[in-house]
Amino acid sequence: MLLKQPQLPTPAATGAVPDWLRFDRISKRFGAFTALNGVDLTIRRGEFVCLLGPSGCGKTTLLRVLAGLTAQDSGQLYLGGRDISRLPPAARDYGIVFQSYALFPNLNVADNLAYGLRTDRASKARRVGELLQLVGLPGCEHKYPAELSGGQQQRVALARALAQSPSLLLLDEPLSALDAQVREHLRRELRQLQQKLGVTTLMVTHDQDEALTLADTIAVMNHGVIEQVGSPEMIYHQPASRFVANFVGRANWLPVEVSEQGEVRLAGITLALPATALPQGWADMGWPSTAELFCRPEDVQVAPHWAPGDNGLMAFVERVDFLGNVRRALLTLVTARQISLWAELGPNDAGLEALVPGQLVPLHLPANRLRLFAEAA
Amino acid sequence: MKALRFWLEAGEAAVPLWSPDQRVARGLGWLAAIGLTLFIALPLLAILLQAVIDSESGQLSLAPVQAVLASPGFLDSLLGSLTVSLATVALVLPTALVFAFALTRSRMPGRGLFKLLALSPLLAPSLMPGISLVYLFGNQGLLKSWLGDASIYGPIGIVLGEAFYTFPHALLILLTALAVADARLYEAAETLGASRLRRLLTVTLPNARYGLISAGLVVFTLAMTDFGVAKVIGGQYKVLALEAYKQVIGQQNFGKGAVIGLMLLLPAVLSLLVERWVAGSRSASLGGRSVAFHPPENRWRDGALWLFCGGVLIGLLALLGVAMAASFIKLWPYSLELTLAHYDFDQMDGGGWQAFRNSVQMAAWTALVGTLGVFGVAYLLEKMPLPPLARQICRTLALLPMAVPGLVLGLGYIFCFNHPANPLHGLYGSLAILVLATVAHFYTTAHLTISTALRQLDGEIEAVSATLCRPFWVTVWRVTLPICLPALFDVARFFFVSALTTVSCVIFLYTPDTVLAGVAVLNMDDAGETAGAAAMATLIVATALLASLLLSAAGSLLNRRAQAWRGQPH
Repeated sequence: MLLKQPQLPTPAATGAVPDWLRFDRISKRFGAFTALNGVDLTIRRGEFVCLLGPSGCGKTTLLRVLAGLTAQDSGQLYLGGRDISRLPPAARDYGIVFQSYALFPNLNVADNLAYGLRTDRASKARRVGELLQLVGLPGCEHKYPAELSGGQQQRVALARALAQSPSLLLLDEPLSALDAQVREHLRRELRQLQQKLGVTTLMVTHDQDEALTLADTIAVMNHGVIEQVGSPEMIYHQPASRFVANFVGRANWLPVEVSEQGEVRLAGITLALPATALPQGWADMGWPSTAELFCRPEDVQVAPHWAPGDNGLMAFVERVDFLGNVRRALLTLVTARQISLWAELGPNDAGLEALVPGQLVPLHLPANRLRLFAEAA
Repeated sequence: MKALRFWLEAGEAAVPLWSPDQRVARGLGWLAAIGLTLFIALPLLAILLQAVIDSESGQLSLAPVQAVLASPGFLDSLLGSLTVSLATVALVLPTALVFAFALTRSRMPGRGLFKLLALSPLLAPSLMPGISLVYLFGNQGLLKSWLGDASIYGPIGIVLGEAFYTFPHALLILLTALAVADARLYEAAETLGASRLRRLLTVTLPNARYGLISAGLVVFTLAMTDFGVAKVIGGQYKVLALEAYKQVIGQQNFGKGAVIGLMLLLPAVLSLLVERWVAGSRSASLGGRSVAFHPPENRWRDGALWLFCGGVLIGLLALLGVAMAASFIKLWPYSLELTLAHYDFDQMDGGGWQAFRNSVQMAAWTALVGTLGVFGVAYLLEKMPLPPLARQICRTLALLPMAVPGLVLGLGYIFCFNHPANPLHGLYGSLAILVLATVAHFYTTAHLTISTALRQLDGEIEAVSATLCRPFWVTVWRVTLPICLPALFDVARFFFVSALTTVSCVIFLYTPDTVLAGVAVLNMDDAGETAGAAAMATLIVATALLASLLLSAAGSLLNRRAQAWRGQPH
């Protein structure tokens, strides 16, 4: 390890301070527009958290409030037990990488990195060398930002944010200005670096792939509130709201009927559903007569031959799109042709050969991948 | 106190997060607002009050305005001003449009040189074309016969002089308007079978129409509010600006001067409003996906344009050059011996060499104070969290001088600073007040130039610096200022040249100790020392040219040193 992080938390210690960073009812309005509507969020020490959401959802505003660059209208911020709600940016102990990187164009890389350092010349040079080694750009000291590629500029911005060994790293869409291949590469490096340094990281992104691959925890935001906080698996497989289900990944929405006893029927066939698939409170408050069933296209299983079992249906293949690594098929249910759903099959799936337009195929909806939502308003 | 604080910070978040350096910035913001109020808003308020307060009773009344409106000769002056201003627009606008078209949309040879020469009138005081016209078409003029029975002393002379003076201003605006051209529009028109003429009428001109309106308004306002040309060559012809000048200088009738000055403010304010209204309805003419237009080869077009531009330049250079040449000639046109006698200013009335030294000193101070002041205010406005009221005051007052003719501002300075009750009364009669008035007069152009440069900088640079625990002045010194240096040099050059050539704003403010070169030109011409006036004007042009070259050279030297980091990102 090249970098000395004085308060480097070990992985075991990361769980020790569950609310090391805490947003408490943060609200912010811009004129008539509510950017943040009473946001609560806690972050563990050493955790990598992604704020994920569409543009205008308030994620960048939340980051800027934490950074002290935008003043919240109400609410408190706590970092390590300290109330930082009213501190100016410099007193909050974080490093930040902006979407534009905001490198100083007339200063070379070394001067950019040393900008905030207040030590003697020799230790500055040593620190700059360490930082460049850390981000994989050794020997770039004397280049100007304009002489670097986008990916290199991004690394310099990251190194500058880490220069003062902050306990918190803030990233505002740091990869969005890069092309796809560089982005994927830097994504991996960013994750490795974060784990190596153990620095608590809050990243803003609108790219779900980025959030799913990078984060320990994802907070999905919409209209100024956090809709769901959870691990990437949880966000993907157990979305807490219709918005999360639609925003992360693709979704089938199937209309179902619900009996008074809570039996769920899709096109006349009763489905087996685990209790976790039902929204909380439905059992107590009474069942609605209709609802919508959520199922990811890749969870729809197409079999080459009919076999008895739960949640089995017959469907016609309407259309098949070849997408390289997968085939995506539009299916309609035999007993209710107006109900259609997408299925995605990989090259090793057994049912792949059966996907021919016009073909009748058996399909299976795995009970643990289904979730029930109230009908869209 | 609490109420005051609430009022000052109204409209901001309830939770202030100001770091110590931001508090300093907010304090400086108030300071800037106070400074701009003192030197821009108060003088204008003073002239307004002067016009509506009855001098005998001290009561608020419209009687002085009515008296001026009803006075004999006012209507004549107004009509005279409107006539020559509209005639100037009619002459300058088409000429400048074709010239700008030739520079931007043709492959005419020598475009760079043509542009430089076409802008040369900017280096001369507005009196200079008048003097040249006297030498060319005056009573002893070389070419007097060309005019037949008509006299140059009157509307013809005024229009020609104003045309010379306003041409570069119109050209600059139209060059900007025509410089942005999207090649895709022309390709689309061509694939649709549009002829060349149709492309000109349907693509080029509509895209330049805002520039045309803007240039027309600027020419009209400049011609309306200038009195220098009319003073030298107007003869008995009456125009408003000269009338205001005569009321104040000749008859010490300040009240009447103020009223006429306010009349001159009207067209300027109106044109600013029209421009705002027009600008509000325009969308960006050049999107991010535009493709730069490269004019195709066309010998006939280029040849015709070359001849036209050459003709215009001969006219402009004649009005610049004849006065210059005459300043070296013993007795135009009778004794064409070369002499430097006319440069022996100390033997003439008007201020002598002292006037020239004052002018250079004043211009240097204006360049220094103006550039740093404008940069400071623009930086605070663009990059710092100023209190909303201070921000609003600075914004408004920075744009206001554009609409205020120099004559009006100068009058306002008299009323404001000559008032015994004003604690800044001591400034009156000093070189400092000339510097401040000149900075105020040319403030808006400089402000817009620097604001544009600042806006091109990444908006997060200040935020990053704050998170790196550096106060904003470190960032200004190490990052912002170095990046903006080219713009600063441009603005310094603009201030220096404008301060050297201006007459209108300072004519009421100088004292025998602080007389300026431009004023000396006017006074010498008035005293019949036409050759001396020509010599002083020549000196002004030469100094302005030298300063421009020096500042440009310094600017490009810096640019070359900065090439490493200004390079294109790959």
